[in-house]
Amino acid sequence: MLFASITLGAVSIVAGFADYPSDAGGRISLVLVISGFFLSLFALLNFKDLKNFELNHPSEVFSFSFSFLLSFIAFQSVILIASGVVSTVDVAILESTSGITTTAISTLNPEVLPTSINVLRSLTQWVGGLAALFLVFVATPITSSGDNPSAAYGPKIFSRKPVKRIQEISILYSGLTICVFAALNIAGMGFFDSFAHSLTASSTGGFSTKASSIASFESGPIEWVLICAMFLGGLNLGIIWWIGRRKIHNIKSNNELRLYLLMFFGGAVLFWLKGNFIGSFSYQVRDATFKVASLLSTTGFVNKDWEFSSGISAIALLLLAAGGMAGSPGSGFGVHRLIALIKYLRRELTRKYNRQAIRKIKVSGEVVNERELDKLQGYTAIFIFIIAMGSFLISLDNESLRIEDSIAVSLSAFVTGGPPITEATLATEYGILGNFTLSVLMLVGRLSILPAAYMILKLSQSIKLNLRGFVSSKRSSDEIL
Amino acid sequence: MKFSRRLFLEGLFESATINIIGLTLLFLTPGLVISGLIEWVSADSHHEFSLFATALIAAVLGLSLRAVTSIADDSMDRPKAIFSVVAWSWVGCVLIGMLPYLFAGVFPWSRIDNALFETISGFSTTGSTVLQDIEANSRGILFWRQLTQWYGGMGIIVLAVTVLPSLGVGGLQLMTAESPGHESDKLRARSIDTAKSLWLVYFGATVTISLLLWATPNVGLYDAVAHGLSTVGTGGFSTKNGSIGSFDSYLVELIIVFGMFIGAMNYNLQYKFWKNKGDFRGFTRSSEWKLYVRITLSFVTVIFLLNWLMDSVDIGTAFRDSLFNVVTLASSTGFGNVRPDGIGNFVLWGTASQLLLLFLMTVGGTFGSTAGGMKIFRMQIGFKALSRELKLIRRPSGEYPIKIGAEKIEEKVVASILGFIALFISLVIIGTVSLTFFFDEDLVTALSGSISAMSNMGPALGEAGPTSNFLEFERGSRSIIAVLMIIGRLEIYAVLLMFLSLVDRLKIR
Repeated sequence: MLFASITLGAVSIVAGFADYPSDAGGRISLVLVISGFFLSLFALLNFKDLKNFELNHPSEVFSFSFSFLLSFIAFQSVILIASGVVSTVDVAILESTSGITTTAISTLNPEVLPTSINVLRSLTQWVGGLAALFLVFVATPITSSGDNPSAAYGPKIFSRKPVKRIQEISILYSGLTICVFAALNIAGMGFFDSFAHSLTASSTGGFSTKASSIASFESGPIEWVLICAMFLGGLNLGIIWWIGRRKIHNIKSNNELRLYLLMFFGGAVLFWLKGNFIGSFSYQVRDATFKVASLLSTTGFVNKDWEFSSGISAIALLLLAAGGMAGSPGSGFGVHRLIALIKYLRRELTRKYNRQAIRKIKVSGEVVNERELDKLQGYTAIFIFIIAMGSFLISLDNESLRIEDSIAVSLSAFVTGGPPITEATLATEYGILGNFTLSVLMLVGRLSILPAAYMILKLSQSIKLNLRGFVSSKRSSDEIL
Repeated sequence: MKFSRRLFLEGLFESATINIIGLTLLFLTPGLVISGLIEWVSADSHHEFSLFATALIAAVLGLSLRAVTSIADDSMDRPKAIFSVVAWSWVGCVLIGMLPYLFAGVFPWSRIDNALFETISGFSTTGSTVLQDIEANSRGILFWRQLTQWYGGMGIIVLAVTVLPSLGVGGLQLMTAESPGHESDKLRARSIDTAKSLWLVYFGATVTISLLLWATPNVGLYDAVAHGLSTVGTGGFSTKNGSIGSFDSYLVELIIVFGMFIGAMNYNLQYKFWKNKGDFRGFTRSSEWKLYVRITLSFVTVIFLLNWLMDSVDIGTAFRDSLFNVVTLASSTGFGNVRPDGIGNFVLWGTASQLLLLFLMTVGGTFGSTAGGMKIFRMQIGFKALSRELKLIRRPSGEYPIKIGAEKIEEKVVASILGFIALFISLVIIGTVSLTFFFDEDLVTALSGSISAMSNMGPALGEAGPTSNFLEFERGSRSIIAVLMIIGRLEIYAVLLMFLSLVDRLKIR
């Protein structure tokens, strides 16, 4: 809660001052500044608690991540309602969850929102991206790699000391954002739009300041800059770090990177072949590459004609489901898990044929232990089950949705991607059940399945115990009376 | 002669494989003769030659293959030998089974792929068809079509008790795992005796359903037996263009529902039920059976409520259609109950109901039954493995064995089952991508079509609904669907490894 207060407090103050005291957002800016001030004050008053802060066990890491996200969403929802930007709790929760989980699902029209709220949305996604990186490189190694086999090499890439690692990651992430900002500015995007889009591109967030996202700029150079930014966003941050330190030999043997590149460029070629794109060759290539970059990195920016033909609809969903590399702010199944799964299935077949066959499975040079492989099978099944369950609940909420739309929206929310694969669903609004389902999907997708399931079970157990305690205390007080 | 025999027989296949292919072909002969006799006595048409000729080919080929080869005592010990036997016997059945269609001119020789598709759909108990006007075909041919599904069901029982145990993905040891403390009642250890016992139950169930159907006013003896065969085999082929909906009878639908429901139940449990003179405790002790009943009942209830409340269908129709379609898909049978007035087509239901049906298609029936799909047992193991992971987060050093009933499941079996689930999902994804990318099928048709084929269901969603005909699909699409049907029916590993085994032998030669 303390970390959520500090970050949201700072973000709110910055967003509040972004266009204070302009006429359009005067009241809203004031709400943001005051909220930010109170949150910061709360954090300062409880600062001494940080001295006792330690993360030694997997359950502590999961509890920390879960409570950080929940507190952030709760605080931001209150701010959004107080500022009058949204009127209902479910929409406020959806918007807040979409922001911090770096998803691009939103029911708001950014063009009618004041600058301060757009800054808040962009900054929230940027913080969400940074938090995702900390989770992978700093927190996950504590959990003995958790369900993320390749995250164990976090300390091998960056410094071994967690505090220094945090500094290195923050510098790299900020540097990337600045580069994207400069490139967008040079490509012809205005100062504010460049600022907002650089934050949401480097975090693979996908929020835009325009209603029709990147399509509204109608600019080739801007799209190319964002293609590069999204491509880098889907990369393992460690790869960029290695490139910066000229450790190219480490990258050459990285099979996760090879598969990522194959999926990126192979996907672009397949899109170009079957996507029914129109216009000049260069336009078609750009269009195909943009769509692949947005889907694979789970960013969620949308360009012109965001419609996928039958031929590429399944591939589009697969790219979206796969997501970026481990160690990127993106979410999804993960390229590292995809490699482990492919290798595991190949080994299973070999073993059925030759029982004596012994083969270790390696991802990015790291041997994946057998326990993690067993876990991976369960993860795969539950990944699909959650998407199916989400589709069902969303279709209950909105009867007009087709099957493919409900699956695409559910998948999009779960992998924190954002864009569905049809134009029809881009502007769809959902009811309470739909908004709640999408929020839960985004939260579970960001936290990763097992930690989220563990925390939800723990939470439900503690609620049950509290309720039992409440009922028994009420009973005893009734007896006394 | 000696050279050619070495090259073509022992060169590619093991001697035992060829011998068992011969035996399997001999099994087909009585079915072909019965179909031929039905055709002979039928007044409408006379294609008996095609059926008798095929019977003769099957008998001569079967006897010849058995005469020139032998089964050594240790020849079935190696997994690759077992894969070869299962998969190649299946291929042999399909190749012989399609001949009546070609001889009778149901499909011209130039469309041999259609005959192949229909036969694969039959033996795999899928039920997808490329026949445009089913009722225009002769009785003997249609009876053979129904029989292919019955044979397919019989084959899958053999697969469950003899082959799958060696793969560690389920089989006899899993079928009996839930009956501890009943050693004297356990099925006989020898797999072939076990298979015979289960076939007895299978045959009994077929006779019961056929008699029940015959007792109804709407169904004649021929249709009763024909539907009895495809119901118990959980196949889904019908002698009518409108499938079960053609009878437009609630009573017929209820009997079929009962037949499909028991068809997807573990035959081992059914055998015990009859042997113990109606002792129902075998069922109630089985956690898989209980889950199967729970899933079916809860899906019937939820889909009934969705259809009744959200789609504004009247209460009687909503219940009738929900019950029939949930059971037909849960048992992977695939009959349709679209009545002549067009009511009962699940493709027209709401999105939420259709998504539930898609889930049912994937799960399938119970282990040791003729149903396809992933099987409830594997889903149970999958969920238990996941729940163990959650416990391990809290206590990483804890020991949490996975149990089904009182039986502890070996870790290597758990790993194999989890691998199977991942492989099943991967193949569905590959099928979906291939159908969309190469043949421009829409996403829902491609996804549900792949799941339906892998689960040996028959109808799917989108363009592949219960009133659709697979002739509307391109040749390439049908080929992909046919391959998925085979892979799904032979529980994935057997087919994939059959090719590896073949490549291996080619390399040796």
